[in-house]
Amino acid sequence: MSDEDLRICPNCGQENAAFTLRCIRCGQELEGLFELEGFDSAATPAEEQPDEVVTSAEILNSLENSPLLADADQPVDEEPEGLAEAHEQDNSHLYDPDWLERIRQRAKEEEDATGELAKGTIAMDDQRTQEGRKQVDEAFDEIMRRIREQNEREKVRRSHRIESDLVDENGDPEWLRRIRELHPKQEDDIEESKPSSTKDDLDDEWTEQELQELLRREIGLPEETSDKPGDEITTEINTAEPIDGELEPGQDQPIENSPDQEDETTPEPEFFHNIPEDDQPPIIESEKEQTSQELDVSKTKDAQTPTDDDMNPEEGSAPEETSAEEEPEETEEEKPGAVDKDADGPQETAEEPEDEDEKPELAEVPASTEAVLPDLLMLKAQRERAKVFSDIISQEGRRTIAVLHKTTSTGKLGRLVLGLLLILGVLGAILIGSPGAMELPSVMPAAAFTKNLEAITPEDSVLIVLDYLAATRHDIEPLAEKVLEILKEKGNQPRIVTSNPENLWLAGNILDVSQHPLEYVPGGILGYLASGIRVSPSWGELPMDQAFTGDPDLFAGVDQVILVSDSADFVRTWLEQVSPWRTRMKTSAITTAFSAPILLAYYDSGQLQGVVAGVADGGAFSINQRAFQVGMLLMTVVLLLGMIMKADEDAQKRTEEPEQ
Amino acid sequence: MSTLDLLLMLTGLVLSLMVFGYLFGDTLLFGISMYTLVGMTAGFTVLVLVQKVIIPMVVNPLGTFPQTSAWLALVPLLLSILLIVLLFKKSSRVSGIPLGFLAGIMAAALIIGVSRGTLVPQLLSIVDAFDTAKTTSHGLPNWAGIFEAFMMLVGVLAVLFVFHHRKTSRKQDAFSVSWLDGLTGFGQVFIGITFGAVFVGLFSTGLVALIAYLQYLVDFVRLW
Repeated sequence: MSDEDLRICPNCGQENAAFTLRCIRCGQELEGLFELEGFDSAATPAEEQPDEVVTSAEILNSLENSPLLADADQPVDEEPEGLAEAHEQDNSHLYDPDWLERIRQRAKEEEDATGELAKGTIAMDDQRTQEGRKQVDEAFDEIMRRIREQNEREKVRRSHRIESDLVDENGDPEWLRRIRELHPKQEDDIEESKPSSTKDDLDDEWTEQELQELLRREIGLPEETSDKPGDEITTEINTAEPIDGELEPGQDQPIENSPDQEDETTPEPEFFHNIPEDDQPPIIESEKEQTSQELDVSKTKDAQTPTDDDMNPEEGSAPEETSAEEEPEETEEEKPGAVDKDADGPQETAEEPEDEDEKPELAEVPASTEAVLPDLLMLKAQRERAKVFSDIISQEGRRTIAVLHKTTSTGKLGRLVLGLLLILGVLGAILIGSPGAMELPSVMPAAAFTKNLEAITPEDSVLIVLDYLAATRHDIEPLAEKVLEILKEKGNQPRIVTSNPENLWLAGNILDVSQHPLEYVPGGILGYLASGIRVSPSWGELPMDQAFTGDPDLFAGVDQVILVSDSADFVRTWLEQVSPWRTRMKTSAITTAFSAPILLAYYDSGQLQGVVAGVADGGAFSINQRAFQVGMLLMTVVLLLGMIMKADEDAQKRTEEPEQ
Repeated sequence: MSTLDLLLMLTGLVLSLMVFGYLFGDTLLFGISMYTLVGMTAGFTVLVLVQKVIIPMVVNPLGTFPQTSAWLALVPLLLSILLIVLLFKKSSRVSGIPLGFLAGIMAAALIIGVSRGTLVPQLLSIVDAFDTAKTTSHGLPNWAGIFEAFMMLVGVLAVLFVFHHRKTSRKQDAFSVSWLDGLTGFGQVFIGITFGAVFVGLFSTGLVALIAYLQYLVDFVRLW
């Protein structure tokens, strides 16, 4: 492309293609292409041309100054005929040069004034530029079409603006009258409850697209709003424009999803959001909310809905109730099924009994928009917190922790039957037959205890520590009593102490207190620890020494310690706290069958010289042996039956779970 | 049999029957018997403490001023008074002094005692189980001793791993390795055996008490 084909933008100086309509740099329209060459296009806009009177002298002068006329390629016959005639008639005698006169003369003489040589050249040039002209014509037609469309839109906009500015005798704008035409019944209620401030504040300007959108909603076409479940604001403010608050009835109207209408009209993408705009005053939002609520009310209420004057002022100034009552409606709107539910129209909805029941609640909606404060707009998180709070309040006084073992009547009956069965069995064994005297073989810990006991000499110092309860005395005292007998036979005089006050009178069952004084060690295991660590101070005796009738050093010279305790914890604590301080002492224990399994580990580690537990290890039953055997047999049967029943129950549960 | 003994036996009979009333639930008679037991035990304990502790260890030394024992007796007396304040004001800070003193001593004693009295001796016991003196007999392997030593070691590890695996499985639900699950199950067997033995011992102790008191009732009835 040569430089002559380029066009320079008058605005920015950018070189553009010859047929470019707009500058590629600044977008300036290059309109000079469609003007007569030689004219100053910038000075004569297209719209002003008809108004101006261009004299023939000016035209001829411009033509004369135009460099295009000097161009031989420029066809002369393209000059407008009117301009040429005016030139000949008016000013031919003033400005015609010689060469022009000669051309005219030749044109009069010849049929074709261009001449044979020029004719061939012009024909060749016409052939060459024919394509370019066609493109220019197309571009011209295109730009003219655009200008016409733009003018039409501007006219329509102006007309709508003029129409929207029209206010009838009641002061209602055009858009409101259109809505009234669409809602002839509801509008009466709206007008009654609508505050005057709302009219003043709302923008009256409606565009054609908004009206079409409104019409589309009214005829039931699907709308593309942002009524999503995840919207943050729970109160219904579906449009950002203040006037859209009036459109809430349209949104709340039942949407008839007729496929024909959906096919005919393509819904325009319209983005709604419920987030209040920062630049909008909050009172407007509350007014919109209020207006939507009123419109909802007008849908469900009949014409006798109480107005502002009829409403109780307290009810009108109770926005909390409004927020609470608003939720079910919102939920219904958010549900997909809500469309089907209201598909019969607002009139039929109002006739439903459920909605009639809601009438009193809906009547409590505050009529005044000023009653709804902007800070009462609840966010979703706030609503969830409120729900949690209400749940907490409702659960007050109720049981929150599940009962692990719920006592049922069946459980009580089973426990009674089991207890009675055991009692009857033991009673029968006691009453019927001999008590029995079967010698059972001793286990290793019991054998070690017996061996250790037999190794005690009369010179050995033996300390017996009592620590058991009355409930277990029948399991322990026979063994302790037997040990004391053996020691007595050996001529050994043990020292007996206890830190349990209960043992002070329980010991009377196993020994003669007059012969074996029982000493009390205060402080429990800490008292034994203090005695074990005992350091004799140089300044006198410790207060602890006042508790002992004999030697204050409890463990002085002690060779054997026999712990008589029904608690494995006491024995373990003794081994942990006292024995490490007195390593030369040999410790053995008389305990219950319940504590024996726990203490066997200490026997295996050598910390206990022997353990004898319960009447079974004693080798000499002080109780009815047959009754003991009957009781154990009954309990074994019960345990086996219980395990079988539990396994059967679990198996049934496992088979039922896959079926479910 | 004297009248006093007869009254005591009759009282014992009534109280025993009231305790047996627990078969019908937590009835009023069972509650009365329990409250009687607790009240009598507490009263007896107070008497013992006054007679065996407070008078000889606190009151008597105070009469020996200005001896050292008297000054020393002031320490438990002061601490006891601070504890008494707790009866009237439960959030009393001064009452925290003797309680803190007691709790600190108990904590220190327990930590040292568990280490010296249980942890180290039990670990040494496991190691000693593999001693050649126990695993061999007359120059030949003592298979029973070896089996016992290995079972002891595996049992301890498995039981410890039960709790460890249970803790990790709570954090990571998808964490599951077959051999670890098997070891956990093996440890659960040991725990089950231990709990079974404890339950049998508990039932045995209770059964002995039941037989003893039923025997007591039968003997009482046979007196008539």
